[in-house]
Amino acid sequence: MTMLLIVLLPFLAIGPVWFAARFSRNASFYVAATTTGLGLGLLASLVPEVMAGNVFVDSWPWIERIGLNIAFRMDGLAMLFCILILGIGLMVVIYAKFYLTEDDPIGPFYAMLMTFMGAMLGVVTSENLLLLAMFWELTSISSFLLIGYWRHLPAARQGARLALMITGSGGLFLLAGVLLLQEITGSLELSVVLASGPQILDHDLYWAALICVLMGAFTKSAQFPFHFWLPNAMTAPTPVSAYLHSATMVKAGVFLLARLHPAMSGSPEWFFLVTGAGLTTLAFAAYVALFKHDLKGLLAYSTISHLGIITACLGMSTKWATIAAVFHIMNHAAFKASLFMSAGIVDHECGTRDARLLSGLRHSMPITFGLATLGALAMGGAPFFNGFLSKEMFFKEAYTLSQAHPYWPDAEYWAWIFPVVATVGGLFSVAYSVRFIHDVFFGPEAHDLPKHPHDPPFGMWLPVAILVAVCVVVGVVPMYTAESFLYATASPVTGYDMPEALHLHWWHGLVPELYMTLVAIAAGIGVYTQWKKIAAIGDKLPTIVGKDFFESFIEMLIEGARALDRLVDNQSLQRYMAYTISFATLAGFMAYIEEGWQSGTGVQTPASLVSLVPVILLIAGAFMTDFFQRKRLVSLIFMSVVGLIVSLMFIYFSAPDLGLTQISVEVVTVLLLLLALFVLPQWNPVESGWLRRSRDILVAASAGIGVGALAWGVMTRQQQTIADYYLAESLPKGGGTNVVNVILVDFRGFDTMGEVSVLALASVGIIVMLTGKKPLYPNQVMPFPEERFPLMLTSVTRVLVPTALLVAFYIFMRGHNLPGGGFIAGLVAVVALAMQFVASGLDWTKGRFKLDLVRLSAIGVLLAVGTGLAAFVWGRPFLTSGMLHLHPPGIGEVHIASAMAFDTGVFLVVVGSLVLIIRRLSRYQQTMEVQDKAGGNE
Amino acid sequence: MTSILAFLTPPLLTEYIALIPGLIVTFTAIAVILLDVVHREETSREYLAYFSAIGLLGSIFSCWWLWDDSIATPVFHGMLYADKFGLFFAALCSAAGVFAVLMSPRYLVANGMDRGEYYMLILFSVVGMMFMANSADLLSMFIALEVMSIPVYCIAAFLRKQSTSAEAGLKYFILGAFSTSLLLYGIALIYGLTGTTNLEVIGSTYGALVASPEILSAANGVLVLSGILILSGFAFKIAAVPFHIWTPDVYSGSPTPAVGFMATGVKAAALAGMLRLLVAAFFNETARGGFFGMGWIDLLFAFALGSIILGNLVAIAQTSVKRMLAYSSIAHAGYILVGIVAANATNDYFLYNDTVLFYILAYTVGTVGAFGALAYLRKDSGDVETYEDLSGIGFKYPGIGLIMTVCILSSAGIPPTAGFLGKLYVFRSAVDVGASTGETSFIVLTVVAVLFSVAGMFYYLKVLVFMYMKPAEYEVHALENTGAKMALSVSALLCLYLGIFPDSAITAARESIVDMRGAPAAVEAQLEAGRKQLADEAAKEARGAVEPQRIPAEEPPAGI
Repeated sequence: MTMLLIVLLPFLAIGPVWFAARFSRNASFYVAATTTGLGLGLLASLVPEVMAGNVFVDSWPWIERIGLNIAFRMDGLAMLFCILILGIGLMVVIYAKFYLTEDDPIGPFYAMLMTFMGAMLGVVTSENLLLLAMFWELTSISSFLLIGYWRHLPAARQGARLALMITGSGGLFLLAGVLLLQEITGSLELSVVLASGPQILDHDLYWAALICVLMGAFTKSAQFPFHFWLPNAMTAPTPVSAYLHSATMVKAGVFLLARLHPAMSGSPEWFFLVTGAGLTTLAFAAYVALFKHDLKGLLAYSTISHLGIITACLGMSTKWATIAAVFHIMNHAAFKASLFMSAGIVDHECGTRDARLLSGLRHSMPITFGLATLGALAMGGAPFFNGFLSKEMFFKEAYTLSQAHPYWPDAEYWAWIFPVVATVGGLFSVAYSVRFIHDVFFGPEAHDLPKHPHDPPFGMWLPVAILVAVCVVVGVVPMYTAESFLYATASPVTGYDMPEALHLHWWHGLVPELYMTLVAIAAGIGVYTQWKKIAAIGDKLPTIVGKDFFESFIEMLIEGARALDRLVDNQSLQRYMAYTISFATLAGFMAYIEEGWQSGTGVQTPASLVSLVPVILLIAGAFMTDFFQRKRLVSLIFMSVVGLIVSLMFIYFSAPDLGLTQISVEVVTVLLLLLALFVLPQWNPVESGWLRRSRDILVAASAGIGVGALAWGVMTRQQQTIADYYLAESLPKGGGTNVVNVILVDFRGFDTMGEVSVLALASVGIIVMLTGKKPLYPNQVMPFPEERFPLMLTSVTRVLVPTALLVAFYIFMRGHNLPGGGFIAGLVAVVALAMQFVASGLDWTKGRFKLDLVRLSAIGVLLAVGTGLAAFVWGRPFLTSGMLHLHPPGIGEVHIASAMAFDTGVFLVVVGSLVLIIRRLSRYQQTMEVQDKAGGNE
Repeated sequence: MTSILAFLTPPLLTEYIALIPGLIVTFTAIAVILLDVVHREETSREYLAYFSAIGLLGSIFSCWWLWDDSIATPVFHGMLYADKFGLFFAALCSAAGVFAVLMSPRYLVANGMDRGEYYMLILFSVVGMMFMANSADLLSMFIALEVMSIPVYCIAAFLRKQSTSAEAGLKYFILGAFSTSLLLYGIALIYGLTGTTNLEVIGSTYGALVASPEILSAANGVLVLSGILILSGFAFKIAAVPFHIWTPDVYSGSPTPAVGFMATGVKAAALAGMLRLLVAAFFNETARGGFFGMGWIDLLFAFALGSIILGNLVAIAQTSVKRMLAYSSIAHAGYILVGIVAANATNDYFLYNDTVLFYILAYTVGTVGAFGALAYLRKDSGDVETYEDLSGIGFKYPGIGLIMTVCILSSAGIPPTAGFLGKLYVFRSAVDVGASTGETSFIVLTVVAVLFSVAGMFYYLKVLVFMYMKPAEYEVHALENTGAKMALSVSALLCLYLGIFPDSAITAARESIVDMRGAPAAVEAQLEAGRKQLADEAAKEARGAVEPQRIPAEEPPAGI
């Protein structure tokens, strides 16, 4: 419970901290400091038990199905990090109070700091690896917010984004690694994972899990080649740099390595990857640090370098190397945080932190000078400081590696690389430590600084002093201060496989590591005196800057994405159609590719040679329609040819009813399209280029061939058609011998009812859409012919109307048994009326044809629905047809089916809607004419 | 002709429960349009939004009420199912509808289109979605699909005075009609081969067809083709590559609050329909294929791979947030398909379909919130669309900024949001299946999915960078509205709630899968295990056990 409280406290404080800032800056500070202090107090209550070697695990189920529990673990390692996080956190909270100016909003700052603190505590105390990964991401996000705290700096924004991208992606890798570990061990609980080391090492997925985990650790701890985000994150306010980017967050990576050390180390992969990354980072970053003029930049690279030492130690993975790693974690946190804060004080007081401008500050800032010097001595690894002790241990282990190792039983030449690299790193470490002090505090006093420097207020140097005191005390009397603590904290990392006793001394006799240290110090000071010359040489060497590399990678990614974007997404419907149809065709062809295509074996209907002629005409007509698609009228004429031949073919294949329907539909459609042509602009759209046309031809042809092949394949196969059923049942069940009509009004009456409703709705829609609308380009519309109503046409059509209507009636009446029916009858009537419009003009016809067409359609629909509903009266389902055979004297048998009423409905809808549409379209034209005239008069 | 007689028997009264959520929404829609008819032109129609929301909430409530009343056999002569799977999606789509209607009123007024039809269209679309999820027959499914789609086409073109919106509607309609025709062609072929449109009967007939070698050799081509055509039609609706091309244009042109609805409701319903169809009718080994045995698993595999890669990559290049969200929705479709592939590639992991359901839920709350937050803001010159428009919003409107942040984090999959758990859940099932089957191709898919979700962080977080780290430059103001604010807050809270307390949602998803009607006999063992596990959990819940639970190292593959 205590552990939960420790983690939760900072989160609980977020709101109060933010809120308190509304009253005063001090209130916010007190809340933040109290919270941290309280956390420390709670932690202190656990310390004795943990020092005694006990491990606490508290667990509450959360999302059990994925094995995610709220589980915390307090052992030595977790305790060490908790002390770092809360202890240094307290220092930083105090320091920030004085560091931030009145203009900086303090509420959000402390709130974000608390978020980070909670997340970080969560990372180090999580027992559940998934929980750890979640807290891990939260540290990335809160660090992102803290780096970008100074919104007015574009560099802060970039730094924040870079940091988040690197560490956040690393977090996702960690997540993947955790899932793989769960796959291997079957659990996410650390207790299980740590206990199944051999099982993990033997598993096939070990390498994948290792790489994922290392990616997480290296990105977070800024190890080469992911180190470049850390210097860019130095745009953060200094308290943030001191806290996140030296003492805690960047340590999360090495924490992870340390945490999983017992489970995942012990393989050559681990040794070479981790040690290699650590040593590279250590030497490279120490070298770069020397030449950084920005004090925080120098410290940032130095941090990277020291993290390299820790990583290398963990990679070596021997008992003492592991202990050295843990020891260096605490030492580094102490001296580096103090140095960051000193750099912050210098920046705060002088208004700059450029080492080239600063000089001779020992006169104006004696306290800062003293503290910074002590800190720098610890960083450089001078004897009697804590940095010396852990560095000695590291040197010793590096030297041992040059002698022998399980992976190379005999001493090898190349193995000398370990002590050499370690010494070189130490050398530069000394050099930049000297530079940090000498350039800033010694030399002539600088007078051209932006501010007049003096020592900061007490609250600002107190945290530095406390941390420096820790460095010195540990360095001088390690045996009394650090021994047992180190023993307790390093035990979990070594898997409780510790040496008998741990003796920390700063004098071991004349041993190799002492010589290494002496060489490093002497050469380091030498290098410092010549650093400008070395820098000049270094400038000539080609530099590979990770940030540039990363940025060019991102740039490339974005460029690639843009190119892809331009390729697929140009917002042109034509291209979209081409893509979609191509993919659909491709998908269809996949079936052919996979299964092959073969023609069926069904008997084919014989066709005479003569019948080929219309087929050829049909194909030619279809081609011409396409060919003349830009000339709409010509295209339309060819289309009507196609329709005509289709209806002829129906008749040829003995389907007169279909033929009749088809031909009347053709006529009405062509009429409607002709009317629509008037409305469309006469100007042809721009012809597409040949490339696009060939593409379209290709797409269309392949789609056509695919569908054609499919149709052929299906139709030549044996199949049961439902035709037989309809042929057999048409008379007994539907009471008619015209199967097509019976299907329409009876078997599929529901369909027909829906269709006529749609037709009626469409006509209403057209009225609504065209009312009050003007053509978009009136002057592009085809001019209306001068001579309107040819006398011959007028007189002939007037006679024809009654005849045509009679024919319509005839067709309607015989419809149930012979070719015909309401639909065809309606079409015939429409043709007759439409001819009147064409021949005699809109006004003339309208004056004589006074039916309310909307109402007509509505009556039609209602009649159809009513017929259907009538079936309920006889207790039958909707649209069951009934029939009646009457025998009136003199006429013979009269057959009345309920379908007839239904058919009447169909008839009325067809007439009403189509005439309505025709009239509306013509009216639209007329409005244009009127406008044209009006326009001409002006 | 027993089937004809069967049609004459009226459905049992209990069968009507399959209709209840849909009927509630239908009546609400009719009431809305009638209210609008008697409405004066110039007065506000905001109350219609609340009215619609109440109707939709009623339907969600009815889903909860009917949760345990599922019926084992299809109802209405084999047309519909009444099961938890259907209810889950009915509630989900209703919720998407609630968010959409509540977020709309001020947006519509600002665009000069304060019309009641808008709400009616959304409501009818929801009706289609509901029946999509509980269809037991290809015909009812197709009708539901059209009932869902046609209103959505209209909504896309709803701001008809703006050419972008009209263009969006036109593109959506033309391409949508094409894809529907593909689907219909596939249905026709399947009907021709099996003589039925009933999903379960297709399932058994399919098995019989492929069992005999000579029929298989003659008909396999058409069988494969019909499957491909049907899946292509669905892929269009869920906006999966290569049938995604319409998505960015339609999303960027349509009214913003409705885009949230289109991106979630339509996708969820189409996925539900597709899953039901595939499970009930095409679960046969031959049809399924899997890892390049060339069946629908392989097709979905390709769709998923393409969607994840293309969606994430192209999203990076976008300057408009709406288009970015459109491409990211393509990527999300890919992740969902990964889940479907993982769960159905073998019989053993059938229960992992619940990850798909949970992912859809998480995706829904995040996406409606993000689009809603965009719709809540307005520039003088029009909609808020680009990243620049969002500059400094986080401090100018902290509430909206916070909601947007939560929703974006959820979409990006960052803890502790719903999106994170959704991704985790899907990826974990993928890792499980990949590790146990040892299929390299599938492991590659999983790795690609994880890697590209890293790329996803890039464009999602760009939104946050602009909101919090850039000074406000544009004249952007908020369309203050209580309803919208409430809906937005709820969506953001749900993102967090589902991320922190997902148990009830996961249980509901699991129950939906276990209770899924039409599931083939091949997975009965898995379903039984799921039932048992759910019962165990319920029993444990009843005992009020709180002691930490450790997952046993050797867990049976079927029962997580």
